[in-house]
Amino acid sequence: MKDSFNPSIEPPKKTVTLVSSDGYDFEVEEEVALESQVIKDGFEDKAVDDREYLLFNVHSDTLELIIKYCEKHVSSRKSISAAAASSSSSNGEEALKEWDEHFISVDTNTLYDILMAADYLNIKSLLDLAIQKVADTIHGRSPEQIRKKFNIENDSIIDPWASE
Amino acid sequence: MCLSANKSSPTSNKSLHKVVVDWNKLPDDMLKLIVKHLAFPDFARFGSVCSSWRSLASVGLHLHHKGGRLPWLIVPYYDVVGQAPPANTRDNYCPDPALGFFSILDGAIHKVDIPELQGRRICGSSFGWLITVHGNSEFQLLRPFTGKVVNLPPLTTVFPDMVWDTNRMRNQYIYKVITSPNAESPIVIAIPYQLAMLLFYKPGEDNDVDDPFIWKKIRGGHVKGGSRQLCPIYSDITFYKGDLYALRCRGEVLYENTRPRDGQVRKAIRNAYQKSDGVMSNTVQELAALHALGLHNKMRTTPREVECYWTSPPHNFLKVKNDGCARRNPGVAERETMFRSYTGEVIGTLIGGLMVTTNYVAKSKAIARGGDKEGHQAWLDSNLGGIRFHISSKCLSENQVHLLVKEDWERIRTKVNIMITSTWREVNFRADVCAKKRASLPNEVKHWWAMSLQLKVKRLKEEREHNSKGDGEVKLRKVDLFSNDTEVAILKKGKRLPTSSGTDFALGSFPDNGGYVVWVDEAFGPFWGFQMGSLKFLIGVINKAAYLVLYDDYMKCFFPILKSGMP
Repeated sequence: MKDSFNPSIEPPKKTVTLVSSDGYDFEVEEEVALESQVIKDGFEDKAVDDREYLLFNVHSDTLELIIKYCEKHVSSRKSISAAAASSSSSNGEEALKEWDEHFISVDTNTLYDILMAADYLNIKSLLDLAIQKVADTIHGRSPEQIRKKFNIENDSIIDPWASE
Repeated sequence: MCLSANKSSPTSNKSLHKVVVDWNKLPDDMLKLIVKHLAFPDFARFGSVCSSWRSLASVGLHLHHKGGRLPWLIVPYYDVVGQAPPANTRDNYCPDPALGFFSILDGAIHKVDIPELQGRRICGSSFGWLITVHGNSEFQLLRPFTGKVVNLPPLTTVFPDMVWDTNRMRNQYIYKVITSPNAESPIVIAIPYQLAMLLFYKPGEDNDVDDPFIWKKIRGGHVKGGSRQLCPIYSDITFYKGDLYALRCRGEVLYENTRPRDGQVRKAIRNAYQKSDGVMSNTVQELAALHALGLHNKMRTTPREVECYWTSPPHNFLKVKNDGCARRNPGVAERETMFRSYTGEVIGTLIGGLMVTTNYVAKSKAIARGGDKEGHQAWLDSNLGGIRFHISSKCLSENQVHLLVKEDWERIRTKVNIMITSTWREVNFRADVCAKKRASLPNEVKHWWAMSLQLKVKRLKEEREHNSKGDGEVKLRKVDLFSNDTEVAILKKGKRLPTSSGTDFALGSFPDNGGYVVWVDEAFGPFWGFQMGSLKFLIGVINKAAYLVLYDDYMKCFFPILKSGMP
């Protein structure tokens, strides 16, 4: 079966099962799962019935968030392209940005999980989003505050600015 | 949307998931991505969060060269590049709260907003601190990136009765200011405008002092030998290895110690100075530098030269050289006695071991045994050194000798024909060496060594007798020349000359002090005596040359390659 080669032609009713590190199954649409570069890379080689991915590094909580993100992006991309086709107002991107901002404003632990998962699944847009969030968190804070924010122990004995 | 999560209750095990997230362990490539998103001042702060972050920051721009860091150059920052600096830059203060940080690595000027800097002049930069002064006499330490501020006592507390206008206060009041290297609570040292004193302040110590929040003034400092009455002018101050050094305009280096234990540091310097290999030639400058450091060169006693000669005993006397020594005090002891006739020839040796005793017992035993020679008049000569007083006073006059040697001493005390003297080690060399060597030998070898020595003496004796059958005196002298048994040395106290018993032989063979000269003088008249004196010098030179040749021959024996000729 080569019909999955071009998912836009075939009605995307096929699903992929993602298994989180703590053993929960998530059944998602192919299209959504293909947001991840890692899944996309190995997608063709797998048989249709065997589309189950064990994500050892991703916890179910994080996976849920990531699936949410991917679904949103897939759907909004569709709507944007639809809006572009009908040449109507294109505030979909801004809405998506807003949504992203809202999505990523989480506590640092969740942010860390998202960062690691996005890196593992190789979802570039999400990784950029998370890293930008980290950079924004660091921005304007003193080292002391950064340590407190990210719960980092100061293991450096020497203050790097204390040498002439 | 067709998310059909089979999760039964995703919230139920959330508590399990709440492990502590370690941002410290963030992978490097991820950190690199973060760094790319950071602007310059954030980036600098990012580097000082923890070690793994810093090491990563160093990969980029944040400067590491083998542990040392490149400095930033602080420059004024103007919004428009290429614009002429404002007119007031000569005033050397920051009208805007922005600084430019010039980095050597990327050659760019990074703008950093430092609101604390507004209206202040940076009058010093030391160990990561910027020291700023404001026209209203505020004086601050500032960490430029973290924004940490330490308030220092205002400048008006230095000279309370003087009135300054704002500009002069800001621009001229402080000549130079530095901090000590300890990062958290640095000591601030400043030279005020009239250069006549040093100002000290240590933040956080106000509670201890009676008069809080004030500069301590130090005018003179500890210059030993320096002229205190003159007003000092300070030119520069710096910290080196935790100590403060100040340069005064008259060239004096003033050494200040800001740590509490002054003596310890001085001691450390003194130790280093004593251990150093640097050769001092005692020039005025060097001595002045030492004096400035509070060090004083020690006077050393000049070496005292003592001449001592081996002299022959009177006619019909035996000269008995003896010495005893113990390996430790007390320890295994040995004694050695050497008998010589009035002509200087060795007629016998007496070597004996003692038990574990002290040096004192060994020496007195050696003397006692040496005098115990029936039918001869004996001149007992030995180097007694430090125990001379004991032996001469206790043993001879008061008869208080050690229990171990009492018997022997009783025997020789009754003899009338005995003379006991003390001499230097250098003319008692043979006995001294024999005793010492035997004491250091292992027990099983001692016997054989003594045997070999006695054999040697016997052989010498035979040789001498054989030679004297020919033409008497001359031959005898010749033998003595090579017998290595007489000792003469010029002893330099404090600088021991390593004299071997063979270096200056033969002088001892003659009955009078003066050696060759005397002997030849008597034999052939004063002219030849003088000639002999000059020849003696020559012979000395030739002797040394002969040794070299001999040495060369020896070496050829051991290393045949040398036969082909030295390069």
